[in-house]
Amino acid sequence: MGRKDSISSGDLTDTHYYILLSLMTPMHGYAVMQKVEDLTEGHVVMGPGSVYTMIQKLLKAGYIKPSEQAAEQRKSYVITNQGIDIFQKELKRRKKMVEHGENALQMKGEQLP
Amino acid sequence: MKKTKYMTSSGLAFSEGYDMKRLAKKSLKGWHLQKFGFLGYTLERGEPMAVEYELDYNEQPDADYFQLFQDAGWEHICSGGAMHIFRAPEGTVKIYSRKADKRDVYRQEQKKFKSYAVFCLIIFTVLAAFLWAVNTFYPDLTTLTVLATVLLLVWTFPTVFSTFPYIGYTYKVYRLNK
Repeated sequence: MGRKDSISSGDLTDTHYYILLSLMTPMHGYAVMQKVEDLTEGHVVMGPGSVYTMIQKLLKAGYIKPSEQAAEQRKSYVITNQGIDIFQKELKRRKKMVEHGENALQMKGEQLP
Repeated sequence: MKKTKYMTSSGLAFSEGYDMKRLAKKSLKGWHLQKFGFLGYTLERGEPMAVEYELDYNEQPDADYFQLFQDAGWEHICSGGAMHIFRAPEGTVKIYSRKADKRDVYRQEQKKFKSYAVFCLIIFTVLAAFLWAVNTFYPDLTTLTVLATVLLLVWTFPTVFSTFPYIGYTYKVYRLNK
């Protein structure tokens, strides 16, 4: 595809972020969907088409790989070292964003949420 | 009483949403999608159900692809080439929860049909020019004129069936990019 998608340009979208953190333990696509939904209390809900596409992209980028542990006759995936690297960078970036937000609120003399 | 009936499609590159809604309406009346038919669908008689239909494109679907959709509540009904139609109870989470993913799917189709359309349009132009040349320079050669006309008419079909989908997918990508 001609246009750069968010994966190759570095920043992870919220959904990629949640998929990667779910795959710290090996699991199959549907388990990822459920885990993310539970974890975010329904704020991040993904359809199967989106999950399938994102898993394919993360595989292609080398951030996840198929896991040997097949669960319930379904293919499982797990994060790679490269994926952990990217995730650490992303976490740092998001922490910085929170810090900037908090500083801005404090400077204005407003309460932190 | 008839067990199956036929429903036309206006071309999935254009009328995906419209077709899927019509299929859902038919299901509500007890006519459920069974398979793709010639330029349309075959429906089979059953109990009325409140369901939704969705279309997805996948050139090389594996068992895991269908399993994931199944797990998420989307039953695979039929496939035609790279197109797959799924059915789920009303209110199930859409298969593409992110607009960007849906757009990428259309973008791939757009790319595929672009090469077909360009190829067909080039041949079409050559055939049209040939017909024009025969008519202009050799008006007496009736057999050749007839042959050129027939060739052009026959070639119109692949041209239309590649150019129109290309326009359809281009429009869809444009809409989702807004």
